[in-house]
Amino acid sequence: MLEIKNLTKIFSPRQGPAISSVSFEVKNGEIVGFVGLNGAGKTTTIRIAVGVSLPTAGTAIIDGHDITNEKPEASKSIGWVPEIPNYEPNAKAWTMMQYLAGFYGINRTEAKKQAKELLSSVGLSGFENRKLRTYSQGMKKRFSLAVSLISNPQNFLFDEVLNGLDPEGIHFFRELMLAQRKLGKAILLSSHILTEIENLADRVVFIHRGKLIKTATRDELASYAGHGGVLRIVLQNVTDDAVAYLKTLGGSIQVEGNSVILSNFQGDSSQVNAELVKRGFSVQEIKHEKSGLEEYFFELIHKTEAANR
Amino acid sequence: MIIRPFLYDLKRTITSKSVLILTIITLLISLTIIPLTGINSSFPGFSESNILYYRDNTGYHFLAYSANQFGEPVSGTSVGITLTPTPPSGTMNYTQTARTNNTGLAFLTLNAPNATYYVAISTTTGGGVGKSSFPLRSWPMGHVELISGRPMATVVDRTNAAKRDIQVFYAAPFGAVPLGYSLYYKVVNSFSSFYGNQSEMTFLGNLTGYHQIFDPPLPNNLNETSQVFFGLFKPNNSTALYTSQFAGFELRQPQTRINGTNIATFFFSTILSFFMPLVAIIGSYTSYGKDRLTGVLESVLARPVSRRGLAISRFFSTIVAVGIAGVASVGLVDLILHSVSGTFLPQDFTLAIMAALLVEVAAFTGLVFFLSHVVKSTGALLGIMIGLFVVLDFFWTLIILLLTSLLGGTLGSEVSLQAAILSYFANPAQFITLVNAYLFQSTSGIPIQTSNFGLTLPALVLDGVLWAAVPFAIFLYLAVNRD
Repeated sequence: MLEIKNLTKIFSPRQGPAISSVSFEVKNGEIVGFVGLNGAGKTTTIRIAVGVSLPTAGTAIIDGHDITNEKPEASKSIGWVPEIPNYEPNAKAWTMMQYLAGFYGINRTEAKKQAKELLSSVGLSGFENRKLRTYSQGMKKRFSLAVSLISNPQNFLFDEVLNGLDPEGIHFFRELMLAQRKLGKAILLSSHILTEIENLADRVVFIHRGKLIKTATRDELASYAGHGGVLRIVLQNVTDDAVAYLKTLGGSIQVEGNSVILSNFQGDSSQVNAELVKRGFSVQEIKHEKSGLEEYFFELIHKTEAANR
Repeated sequence: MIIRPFLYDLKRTITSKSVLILTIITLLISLTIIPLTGINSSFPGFSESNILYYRDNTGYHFLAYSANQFGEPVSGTSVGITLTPTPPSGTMNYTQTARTNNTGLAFLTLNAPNATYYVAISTTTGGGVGKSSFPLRSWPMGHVELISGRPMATVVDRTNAAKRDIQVFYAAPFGAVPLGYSLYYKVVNSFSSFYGNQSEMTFLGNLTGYHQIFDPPLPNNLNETSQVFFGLFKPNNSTALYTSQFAGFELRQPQTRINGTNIATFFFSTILSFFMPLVAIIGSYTSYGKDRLTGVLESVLARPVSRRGLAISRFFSTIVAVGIAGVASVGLVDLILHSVSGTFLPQDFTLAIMAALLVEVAAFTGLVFFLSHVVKSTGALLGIMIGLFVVLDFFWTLIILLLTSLLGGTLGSEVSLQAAILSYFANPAQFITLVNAYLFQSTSGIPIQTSNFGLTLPALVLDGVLWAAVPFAIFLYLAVNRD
């Protein structure tokens, strides 16, 4: 179990805090999505939680161990895959795995066995003796995942782990996370690919400008999805009459060239299409996108920004 | 738990290309000490054999003594003696061969009747074969005569290659052990004659065997005309051997002459103290600076290791890796000098140099590690460290000159010496120079009383400890408490 408690990080007194009093938890057997814009503080939070960065205030508790004061004990229970894995480039994967296994007190024979098994399990069989600098970004992520599995940790922190992966790689990570959840592991997943978060996460933690703005459960997100969505209509000519009619459907309206976008639309798109045709407008395309995490996220951001103004 | 990662870091630093190349360069540079010695090996492993003989009723008895350049016994030397009657009588030659025992002695008896003979001597050692032949002079029965070598000869002092001791090889009549025979010496500071009066000489010691080494307590400042006379006297104080005469400089090498310690001092304080900081900088950059500034270290920091533990492991693995290069270089120099002069460097000197080297290595390693937490890029780190190295190693003399002139002194004056000593305290690259100045009580070739310049043992130790510990302590603080 991973507990983030009042984490604050100030890199420079001249700038504001990168994160401020961030608190949440990831329970065992749970995948928690960690969502925010670039620079929101996701990576900073994760780096502190894994012990590679020091907090200005607050701490992270890993299975009851304080990452700041009991780092060796806490680190035993952490598997971390950073966004850009950065290992000694001239080391061979095989050697590096064994070196890192040494920190977990794993003896040489066991380390060799584990290295072979783990590298094989992440699809790196045959590449064990290649230097890490020759690995592609995807291979580095797989290697990093193998490293994170060394001690079979209870907690995983995946930072933008799906970035730069091919579809097969994304599938592989997705399956692995689901398998680990089944095993009762706690997983924190930060990603820009919100559809993946939506599909995988049991809860989603939203962070904006260094502050935690919302924690939503899967049920809350599902409930939001029922509220409507975005209706995109492409007309041959967007006239004032057409806009006046569409405004009567409720929600906010936005015109971009020949396109009209209706937010928070809760009606029936086929009826709108029929009415537009009846009124003599030439409809080239009409598309109803149901509300999801993306809309939820942006709405949350807009609300927060508006509240801060 | 940290042991295997420590060993990995150690191996990684030692086998990194840059450190490997610099280590090899340092070791190759150690070989440049060979021409500095300026002499070929003038001390073969085996000096000429000393052989004496006497005659009794049973025949001719020969006693051979085989020794190395230190006068120490050499066993296993084959000694062959052949007596050929002169003029040839048509009868058989008398021949015997024996090997020297573990005391370096070989006893040979040829049951030849009293006659005139031509003697042929053959000695065989690992170093080669020596042969000589000459008419054997006829002496009264029991008289002992040396037929090869010298009864009194100089040998290299085991503990000080600049000294020569006196080796005596002698037997009493009928080959008896010369118990009660005594050696006397006298120093004469001119070319004046001396006739070997025992009463005018100083007792040096009694013989207790056939061969013995004496270390006469001669002053070190024997001048060019000093002569030292040695005389061997029987128990009744009559002369056993006429006095042997040696030039003073033959027994005590003047300070201006090259000796192993002088060469080593020059080598360590110039060449090695120049290279070791460079090896330490490159080694530290490879093992820590680069990893820290490129973020590679984080992949290790995420493991179950404390920041303090990782910092200490990396620091000491670097010290050990670079230290091995330094110690190997000192060892190589010692071996080279040993092969040339026959003696190892004094142990205390070698240990002091190794300690000084470690201080230099620790200081520069600490500085690189510390700066890795201050600068933002690998280029800046290397640039600063190379710049610092250039200033501390190349331009330090200019700083001393500047300091001297600020203090109102001139080159070679007491003020300049004071400035030099003070500056050496402030420069980790000059720590070996500081140690040498203390050990030999001289700096820049000028004899000084170092304590008058503040260079005392406690000051030296304190300076070494500070250079080794302060950069490391600052680095450790930053590594533990700062990102």
